[in-house]
Amino acid sequence: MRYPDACENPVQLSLAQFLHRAVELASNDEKKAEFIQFMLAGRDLQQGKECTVSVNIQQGVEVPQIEDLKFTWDFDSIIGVSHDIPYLNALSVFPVPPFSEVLKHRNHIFGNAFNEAVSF
Amino acid sequence: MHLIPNIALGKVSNRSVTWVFFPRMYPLGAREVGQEELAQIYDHCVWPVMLEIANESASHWPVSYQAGLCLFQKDAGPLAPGTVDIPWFQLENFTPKLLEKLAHFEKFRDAYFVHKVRGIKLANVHELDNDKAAQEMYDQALEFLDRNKLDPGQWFADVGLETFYLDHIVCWFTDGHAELLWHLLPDMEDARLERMVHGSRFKKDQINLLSQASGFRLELPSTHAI
Repeated sequence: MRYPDACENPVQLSLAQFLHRAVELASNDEKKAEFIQFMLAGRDLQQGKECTVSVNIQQGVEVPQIEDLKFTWDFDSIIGVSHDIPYLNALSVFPVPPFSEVLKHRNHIFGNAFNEAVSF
Repeated sequence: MHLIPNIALGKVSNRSVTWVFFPRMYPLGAREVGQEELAQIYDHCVWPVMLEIANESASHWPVSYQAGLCLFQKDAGPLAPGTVDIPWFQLENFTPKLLEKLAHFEKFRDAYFVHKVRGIKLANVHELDNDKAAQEMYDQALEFLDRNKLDPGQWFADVGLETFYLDHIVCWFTDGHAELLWHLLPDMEDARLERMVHGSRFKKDQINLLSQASGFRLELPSTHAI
């Protein structure tokens, strides 16, 4: 191959074919260098000819039937704004509020700094 | 919302945190509540209100912010913030009085509370088409809230939806992102969707080195703009 980045004899593999070939090379002690070339540079020898390998994950892909899929959902968090503390449990108050508990990160809720619905 | 100065007022059994937000401090350029303000909040607002409504438990409370600092800062080590409980039936009394005291300070006027029920991830997973389980999960997540007092327009749920396929890991095709978004935002014009997919707010999470498989995150401009 004249240039290291030359794309000669392009070969497209499915993910399964790619992994199969990788395992084949990795399990042969004499082919460690070829394994590294294959994995990192996409270079391989096929029938004695050097080729450039690319992976197409859509090739031969197993698309699941919708009825075989299972969907679940849950609440990651619940956020509320109010002028009261509508709890049915005791509130454990921090006399010295820790900085680590301050809301410092985006919580994906946008609005005016002044909340008219809860203005006092 | 995180840009508005706020403090953690307290929590409910590690499941929920309640912040107090101080919108008046925002236009003043403040991005956080400093030590001086924390002392004012405790010494002139929280502590007097507690004395008024629950004098019998006063001995459980530090007599001042400084005393609290000494109490919770042991041997010059890191602050180990302790808490003192307010029983739920006193909260109704506590909150208006606290807001009233806070309003005596110009910078603390118009304060409000923000609550986050957290740590419920995976605690209440259930199947999508199971309405009964959904209701139970909802009830369980909200069991410590007095739902008669909630304004539904001011509460937001962050819902996670997961797809499972036996013995597999399921991921999206990168080519399918636009179509997926089209399903998620059915009212959005096609041209705008197209722009969003290529916009700077659209972040792809590539699966290993496989550019054809990726998830995505999209920050929507505002919930009202859709």
